[in-house]
Amino acid sequence: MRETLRRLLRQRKAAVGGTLLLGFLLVALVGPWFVMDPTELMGQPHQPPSSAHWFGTTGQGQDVLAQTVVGARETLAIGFAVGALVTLVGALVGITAGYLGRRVDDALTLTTNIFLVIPGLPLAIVLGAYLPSGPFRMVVVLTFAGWAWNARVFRAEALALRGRDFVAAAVVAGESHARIITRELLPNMASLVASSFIGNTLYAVGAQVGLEFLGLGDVGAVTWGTNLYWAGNDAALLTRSWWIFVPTGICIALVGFSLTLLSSAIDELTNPSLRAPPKAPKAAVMRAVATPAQEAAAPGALLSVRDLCIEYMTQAGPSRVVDQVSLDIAPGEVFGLAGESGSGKSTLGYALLRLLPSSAAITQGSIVFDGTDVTALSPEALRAFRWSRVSMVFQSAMSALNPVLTLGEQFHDTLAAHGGASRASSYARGRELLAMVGLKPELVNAWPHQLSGGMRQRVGIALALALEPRLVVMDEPTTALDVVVQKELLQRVLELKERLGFAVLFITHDLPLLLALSDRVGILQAGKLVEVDTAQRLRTDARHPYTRLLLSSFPHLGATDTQAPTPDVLEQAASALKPPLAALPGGRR
Amino acid sequence: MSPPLLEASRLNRSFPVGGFLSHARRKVLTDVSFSLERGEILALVGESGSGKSTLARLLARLDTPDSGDILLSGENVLAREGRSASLAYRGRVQMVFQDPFASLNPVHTVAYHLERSLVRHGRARGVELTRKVHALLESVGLTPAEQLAKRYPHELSGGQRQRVAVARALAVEPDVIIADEPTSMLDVSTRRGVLQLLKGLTRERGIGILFITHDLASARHLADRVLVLYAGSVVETGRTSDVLQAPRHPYTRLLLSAVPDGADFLRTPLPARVATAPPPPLGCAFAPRCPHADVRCHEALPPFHLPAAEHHVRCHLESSKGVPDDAAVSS
Amino acid sequence: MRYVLRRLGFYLLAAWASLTMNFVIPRLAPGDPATAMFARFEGRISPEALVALKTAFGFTDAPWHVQYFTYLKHLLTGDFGLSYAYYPSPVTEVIGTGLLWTLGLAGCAVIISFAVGTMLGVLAAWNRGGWLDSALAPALAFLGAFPYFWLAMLALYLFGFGLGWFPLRHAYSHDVEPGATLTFIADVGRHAVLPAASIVVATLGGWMLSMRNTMVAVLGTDTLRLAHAKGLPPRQVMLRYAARNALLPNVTGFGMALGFVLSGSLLTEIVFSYPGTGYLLILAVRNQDYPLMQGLFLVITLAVLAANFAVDLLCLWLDPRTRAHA
Repeated sequence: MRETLRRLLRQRKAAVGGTLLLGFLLVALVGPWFVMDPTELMGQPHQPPSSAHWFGTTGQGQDVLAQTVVGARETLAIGFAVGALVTLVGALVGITAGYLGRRVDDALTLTTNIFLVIPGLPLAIVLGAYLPSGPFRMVVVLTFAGWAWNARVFRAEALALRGRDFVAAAVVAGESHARIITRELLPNMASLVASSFIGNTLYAVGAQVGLEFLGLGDVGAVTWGTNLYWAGNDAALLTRSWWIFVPTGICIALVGFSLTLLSSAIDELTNPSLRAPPKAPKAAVMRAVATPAQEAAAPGALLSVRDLCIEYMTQAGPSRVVDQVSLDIAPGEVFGLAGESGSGKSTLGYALLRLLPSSAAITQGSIVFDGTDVTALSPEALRAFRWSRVSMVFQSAMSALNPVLTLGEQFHDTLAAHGGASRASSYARGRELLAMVGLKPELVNAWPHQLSGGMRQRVGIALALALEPRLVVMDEPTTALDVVVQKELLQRVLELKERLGFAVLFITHDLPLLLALSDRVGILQAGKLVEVDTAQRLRTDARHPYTRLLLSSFPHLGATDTQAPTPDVLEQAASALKPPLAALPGGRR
Repeated sequence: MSPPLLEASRLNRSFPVGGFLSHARRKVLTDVSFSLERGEILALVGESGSGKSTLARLLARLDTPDSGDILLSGENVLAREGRSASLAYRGRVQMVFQDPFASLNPVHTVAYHLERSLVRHGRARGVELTRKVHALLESVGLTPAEQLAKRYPHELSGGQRQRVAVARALAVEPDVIIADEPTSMLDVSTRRGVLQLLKGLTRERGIGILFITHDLASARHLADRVLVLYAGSVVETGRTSDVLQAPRHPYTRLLLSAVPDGADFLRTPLPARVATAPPPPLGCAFAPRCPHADVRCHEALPPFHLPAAEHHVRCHLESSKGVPDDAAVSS
Repeated sequence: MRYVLRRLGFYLLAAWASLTMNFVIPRLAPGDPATAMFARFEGRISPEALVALKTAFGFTDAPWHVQYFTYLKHLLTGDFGLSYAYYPSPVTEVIGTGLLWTLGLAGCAVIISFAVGTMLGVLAAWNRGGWLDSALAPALAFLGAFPYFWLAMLALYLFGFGLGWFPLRHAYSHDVEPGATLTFIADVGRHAVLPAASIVVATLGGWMLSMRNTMVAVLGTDTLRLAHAKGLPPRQVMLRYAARNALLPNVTGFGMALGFVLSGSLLTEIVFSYPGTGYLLILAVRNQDYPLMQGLFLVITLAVLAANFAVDLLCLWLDPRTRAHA
């Protein structure tokens, strides 16, 4: 909690917003004692700013400065009161609905949604017209008209948190409902409560000013809204008296802006992806083309990676995720890359297509594909290179396919981007490709959501083969699938590979799978390629201790499975070998 | 003979599908029965959608079956307690969840998680509490316990978190632990340690463990008995060595052939057909994919057969092999 | 189809809820607002007419449920009672023309603002950290913090009174004959520029920010990574993959923000003495014209519900997943 506050303060947005807001609170608190009486007629009406009246006088002859300063008090008081009340009501309704679920949720959600679509201002007016005037009326009216949005947000959050296992774990531990809500759910909603309160205060100030401008406030009180109401009534525009309404408006905007800044600072804290990404680390010394490394490229290799280093920029400085990796893949070869989470295996795969996120960069080394230096391609050449020479199958074809386009459109996009095929020919090719991976050709007109996980992954493979590339990078394509579906899919891939002759870089954590699938296997540990050998030899004669650890981590079906290394010892050895990579943005858990 | 530690009898569960006002329901579990003995590990094997997680939630009393009974030491707990489980039940049956990144509350320390279980079930209080927390952490291999107790979940690795989750379950001194795919979200090099830890619990404390997994290899490694679920029904159950070395049900054979193990696992064909029809409403759910299915399979649900001691198979093909019908158990 | 019917059912329910609130609020309010409401008519109309009016509104000695059904019956036949301010015009007649002006002005402004703001949000997210993102977005957020009507006052002051570029009040000039003539349309357009612009300026930042934030989230997904990997032209990736997917949640948000924006635009109308429902609203408030106020509430609510239904249909068209459940 203290850490969160400290990070919040370090943010510029939060600092500016907080200072502004504190300034206004101070003015509202002590300001009224330092200015004239805002309701007394102090001078001539419609006087421009002068030394006697710094902000001029109103149409009645009151001091505008005094009205602005005194107006801050009630406006902010009501604003914060409504902000707190709306948050409270919204949170109560939302959490009750989200936590209890079933009938209670149905009823509360329906009520909330109805209040959401009923426009607030007319409702507030109708309600306000029948209530006795005063600050209390404003609070009631604004809360009544504004609670629904919050209830909706809190319900969604409660529902999401309730689905999390720690709530189920608390139930299993025997905790009471009250305790689960107060000790498990609410502490996780702290940032939501804060940003909701700020957002609601923003709403309250705006809506309050609007209603008062309409004359629905207490026109005798001094608030920012009534200041504007009187400015309108006293013909400020007609008499060209800009000073009557400008100061109040700017104050409202500054308060609103400071609240917006604060809430966006909280949003960025909880959702770091909204922040501007850190700049990628600079390449160290880009080496000349004819380096010794390149000379070492294996003759006849399809892909040659030499001394490749990839760094991510993190808050703690650059962090090396791929460290001096060199490997070769021959045409038609299946090369397996094994590693645990955070080992840099996916990053390496993305680098082959230069698909790194903007906070990462290749800082050293070369990637030569079939004579092309991939690291040196211009944007246009890179675009042409991608997919036609090297394509990729993603782990989650479920989320990688574009949900709003039919499969045919996605085939067409791809084919059209590489040589302008007509829609008809693209669809024909799409049918052909779908049949090739064992799907019905008619599915070319289907949407991704109509397919099962295994089917979508087949579509991913069909898409990857659309331009007949010579290398397909497969990043954990079967991890999310059941074993039977996995085997079907892999058998299909091997069959297609025999027929079409493409090479495969297969990335996974599943070493037994990789050994059965690949010609050669590389073991990646913390960004370093610690061992590369044929699958055959790795199975029996792995040399590196980490490889042996990985091999022993998978229990076997056959009876050969012995208790060889004591796992606890090996685990400790592994964690000692492993640098702390958990904080990396690229590393999935 | 004393009753089994935990027994499930003909559990059924279905969930409403479709929107508001729709009465359609999807059946997730059909007549699932099994028993778990003290100190035993029973592996519940199935693919996604087989209903294994639903079953785990039923036994952890996070959910209530539509029909069927749960018996703890012979006592029918659903009949006595209804929907919400008593503290006594919680004190005897604990659960370890699949994802240790989700099952620990990010705002609480390791110590808080353990202390709550200890206090709630009256296992420790006052000064004893801290000592007990440290002892628990040490018992699951988390040392130095004093330091780890103060940490927050995000400061731990996946393997460490799962050990904390096991420690939390142990805090109440349970008789049964339901472990729902406890290693599937962990890095491979830490998996085996967690499995060893669970195995140790059955040996040292006599805890019965229901080990839910999709991974036959770790089931073989860990479990005394195996229960194979397909589409919400038990298709085969028996001693691990029997079921995995001499599988009788075509689905068990299919699953086994798909386990990535050995150099030629991709070269052997899958013993299954591409399903062209939905599962028949009355017959065997596996029939549309079964390479041996005949008319019977589409028309009637097969009874259980006993090809060997304690080895139950639910398949019509078994009965044609001459096993008399009266040997069938209706469990 | 089922989805459409379900949404329609929901809006009917919402409409019923607002009708009922309209009935309940005056009866639950402290004091005796009903008497106050009709007291204003006394002396202006005959006692018999007053009784008839009370009956029309359901304010009789009958039990509540009878009053309620009388009230519903009158509403369903389009009888909202008589306006006090425009006595003896029926409320429906008073609102009729005003509603058209409001829907025209607010409708155009909201659509322009949403379209431009969304586009800016797409560009800001696509060039994250660029000037659009780091300079324009905060500037628009600052403008968005001003009350709509205050921006309207400032615009009117600067461009109307100060520079004299635009007319000061009303929706069209008195010397132009209303009709389907080019002069009239041009005149209406000239009158609409300032009010529409102040609504657009006030709301632009909100649409831009929310589109930017959803875009940023979409940009991090595998869908986008796949699109880049396929070597698609950047413009296609931006529009067909990123923007298209980010648009869906934003259109839903658009529907929900409609009521809020409409409320703001009503206040803007007041500044420009625009003859829409906002102007009627202030008239109703100042004259304590309860029938008119309640009529306005119902009519505006129904308009917003209808607009929300249109947005739902738009979502249906945009999102194949919703279509599947339809």
